[in-house]
Amino acid sequence: MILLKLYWAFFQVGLFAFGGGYAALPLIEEQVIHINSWLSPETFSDLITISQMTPGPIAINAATFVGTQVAGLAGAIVATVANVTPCILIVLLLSTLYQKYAQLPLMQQLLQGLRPAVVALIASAAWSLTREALLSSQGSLSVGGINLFSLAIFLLSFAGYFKFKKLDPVLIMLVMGAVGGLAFYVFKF
Amino acid sequence: MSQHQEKQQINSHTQALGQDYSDSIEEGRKPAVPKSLRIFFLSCLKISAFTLGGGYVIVPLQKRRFSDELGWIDEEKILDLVAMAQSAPGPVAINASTLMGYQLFGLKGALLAALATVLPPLVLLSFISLFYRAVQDNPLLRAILRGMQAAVAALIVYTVWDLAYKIWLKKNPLQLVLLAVALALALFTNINVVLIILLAGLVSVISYFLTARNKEDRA
Repeated sequence: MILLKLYWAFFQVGLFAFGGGYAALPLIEEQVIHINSWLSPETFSDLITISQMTPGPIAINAATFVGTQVAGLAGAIVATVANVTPCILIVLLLSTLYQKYAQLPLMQQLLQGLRPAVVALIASAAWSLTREALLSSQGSLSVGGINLFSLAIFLLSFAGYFKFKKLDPVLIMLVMGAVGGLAFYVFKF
Repeated sequence: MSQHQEKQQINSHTQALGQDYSDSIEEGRKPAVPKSLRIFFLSCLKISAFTLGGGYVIVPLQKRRFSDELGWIDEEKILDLVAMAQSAPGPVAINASTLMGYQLFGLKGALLAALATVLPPLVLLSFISLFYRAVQDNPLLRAILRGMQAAVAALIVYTVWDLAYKIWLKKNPLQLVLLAVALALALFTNINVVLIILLAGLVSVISYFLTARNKEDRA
């Protein structure tokens, strides 16, 4: 019974979460705190933190977390599957349409116009992420609201991606993670 | 000018700048590695494991793996897939990999991609939520994540720069206008992502019918 409720709750979240990971959070909050009382507001706040710290989309992480708290491993699986069912179905529908009609001149023009819009949207996300990564008043190297060491990592990484195109960016991410660990934990920059 | 001439011009522009963008503009080139469901599944698994700091980082990771390294898909097609990924509800990362899977291998590719994308967070988080307090309060872990966050932000910025530059090179007025307007809307207003895409789509369709009419008038 609880599994069914879990499924339905996260199915709704999956269905209405338009516009990026953070859009799902208010929906999850409503389901998890207000409608079903599965988590307290404090735990929900922890949930957000943890979901951002682990790899994977926030919505999935949140679903798995809540599922585990409510009904163990079964809950985790049910909630996660429920969350992705609507989007997978809709995406499959879009795919078939794309395969069928993409060659038409009208569709070509449409897609041509969508590409710059997509780039703009990713740019906007890039801006938010950069702000979040650089803005900090903690640490000995924070000046004017910006953490200089984070800025240094940012610029170094950027230079790395630019200069070493053949290099796996994941490597740079890992190295910078280690550097960050050293800088922020050991030296408290 | 013809599409081929356009491509040649772009290629010579970019070669003059010392960077080889020609790979990403050529169509119908042979894949560097033959398509394989196994490689695809493992790639999706790895990409999902490193999708840190927001779903959008999947774009550079997918581009790099499936376009640059494996040569299975054109860079421009990836943007089409991202447009669809954003138009559907749900996390961009899931949608993008499902779409990639369908594009490359049909339905079974789509389902495998979804599975591969969901597995890392599902496994990791089920495990972590048992002792999440310890994890989230761990200062060393947070420090490491801070470092990675800056690196991830830089990767997305770099990718955006790369993509925007290519659009700039094409000198297509409609694309340039849409780029500027969409950017302004995304940065300065709260308009939902999907609406911006719909708007861009509407403008493209209108422009299509306007130019089609122009051609008829002239003929």
